[in-house]
Amino acid sequence: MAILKIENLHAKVEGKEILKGVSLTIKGGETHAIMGPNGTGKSTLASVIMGHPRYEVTEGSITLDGEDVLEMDVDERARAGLFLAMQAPAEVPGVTNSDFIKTAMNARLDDENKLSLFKFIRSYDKAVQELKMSEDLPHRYLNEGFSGGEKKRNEILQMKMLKPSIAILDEIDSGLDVDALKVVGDNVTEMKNDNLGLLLITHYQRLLDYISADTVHVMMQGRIVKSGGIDLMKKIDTQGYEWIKEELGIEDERVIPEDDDERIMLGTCATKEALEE
Amino acid sequence: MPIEPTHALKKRIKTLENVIVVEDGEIIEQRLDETMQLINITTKPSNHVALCKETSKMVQLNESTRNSFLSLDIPSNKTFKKPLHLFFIANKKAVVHKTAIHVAENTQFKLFESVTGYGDQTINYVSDTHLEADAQLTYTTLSSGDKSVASAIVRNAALKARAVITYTNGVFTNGTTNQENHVLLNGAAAEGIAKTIALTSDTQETLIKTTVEHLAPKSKGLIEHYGVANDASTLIFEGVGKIHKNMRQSEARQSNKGVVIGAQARLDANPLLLIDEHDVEAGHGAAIGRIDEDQLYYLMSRGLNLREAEKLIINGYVAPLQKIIESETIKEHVNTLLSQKIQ
Repeated sequence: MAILKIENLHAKVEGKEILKGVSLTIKGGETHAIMGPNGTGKSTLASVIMGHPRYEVTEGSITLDGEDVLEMDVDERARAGLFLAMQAPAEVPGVTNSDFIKTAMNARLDDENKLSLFKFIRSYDKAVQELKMSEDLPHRYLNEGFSGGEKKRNEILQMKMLKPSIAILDEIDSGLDVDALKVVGDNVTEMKNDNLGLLLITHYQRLLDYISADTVHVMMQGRIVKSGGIDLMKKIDTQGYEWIKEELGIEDERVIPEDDDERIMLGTCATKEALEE
Repeated sequence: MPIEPTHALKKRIKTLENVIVVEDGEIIEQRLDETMQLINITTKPSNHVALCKETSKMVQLNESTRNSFLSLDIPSNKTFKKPLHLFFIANKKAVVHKTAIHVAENTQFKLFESVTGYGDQTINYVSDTHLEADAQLTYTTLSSGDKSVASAIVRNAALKARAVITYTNGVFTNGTTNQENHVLLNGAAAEGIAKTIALTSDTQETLIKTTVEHLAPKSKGLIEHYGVANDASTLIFEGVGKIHKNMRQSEARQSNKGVVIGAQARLDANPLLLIDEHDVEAGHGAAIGRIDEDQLYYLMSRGLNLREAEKLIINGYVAPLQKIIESETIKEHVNTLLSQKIQ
């Protein structure tokens, strides 16, 4: 059973400190949700765990089963069992989805045990169907020309194929309509088992109707300021975040100025509308 | 890494159907099915007038020192489903070769052509293609060869009304090479598509020049260059779309995409649109630089190491070539050439 342990994590981007002491432990079989308003450092946390080169860790530690994650390159983290479903995955023209995922799967196997093409195609086609994606997806170029929803589903498709031990889903609900959200939710729920630890990052309690979480954490000012169970989720759903700010005496919860994540805001509003329809 | 020896290439050729192999100026193998036998094939130099002789020094040199010739006359009103494979090998002597292709009215034809040089031979290769009205030719080419082989390869085409030519050129040579592709749209609504994918390595210097000239109204031209410059190599793309006066409603487009991998490598794209008419559509775009950091991060976040991720992205640049090749043997051959280029 995998254990991801984050302790007192501080990180900065372009000289500005965004994470200011995050501590969190996720074990296989558990599902955690990190919630919070925009600009509080949620997605930064996801990127720092995965090892995005733009972020610099200045203090604290991340370990996976006792191994120092911060010492690992991005690809080593992936092969160690970490997976990040990204908010805005890159488009790679000329590289087909199937070639990519096959190479990624083979990167985890030694030379004698490479994947059989037949087995791969069968399992990939099955996963494509389960995510209700178009049949030509394997032959299309990686994320090129994909709609927001297709990109999100493609992230979950990759997760299905790679079977990570710790998966972080960064705003997997943004840009998805209700039907697509249900498909994604069902697929993630189906993957849950004692060997998979999940971290969901979201603005909305609504995602948790489709993927249930055991623990919810609220992030503000680059830290986890409150953690709790189902009661906390419900309270956030009905009352928002203001009461937490009042309770903790926080005036400005943001660590990232508003204009930096305007694009993300738009995506979120669109989701909200879709969800309310 | 050295390129595959001649016998390995010949072994691949054995598995193909409809093949003509010309080595050092002689046809050493010719296997054609019944349909292909409709083509008139000769090796005797004809009094063929060379295209673009005034503008290209390489053509002038070819005209004066030629030692190898092949002409293909493809009859009218036929649709050839399978491609014809031409292989030119410069093994024991320097080759100055010309291929003259004539596709008659309303015929559809597919040609695959490979030019390879070994040792320290030099190659001057010219192909002249004439497409009659409504003819269509899919012309896919590969060039490869040892580091010490210098090559000049010129492919010119003249198109009559509504004829369409689609060039897809894969440049995998290891030596210095200078390649030109010149399409003359002489007939109304003729269409010329010229895509070139070039990979350079070591210290080689490669110049790729593609010109589409609009000499009739409603003609369409598309130039696409894809490049990967490794090590300390230099790769230069020159693309020229030229619309002459009164050639109304013509369309000239061009795109250049490339990545520079080597620390000392250089990749330049010089797109040029020369337009002497108002009623036309034209445009060009270029995207050249280092491999995108976000793309690398994304691929690596799924477990690919840096080299695997880079290779996959580079492979992506060769996709337009692999897409058009029908034969598995040739796809595999391209993969071999690719893996020699990027280690």
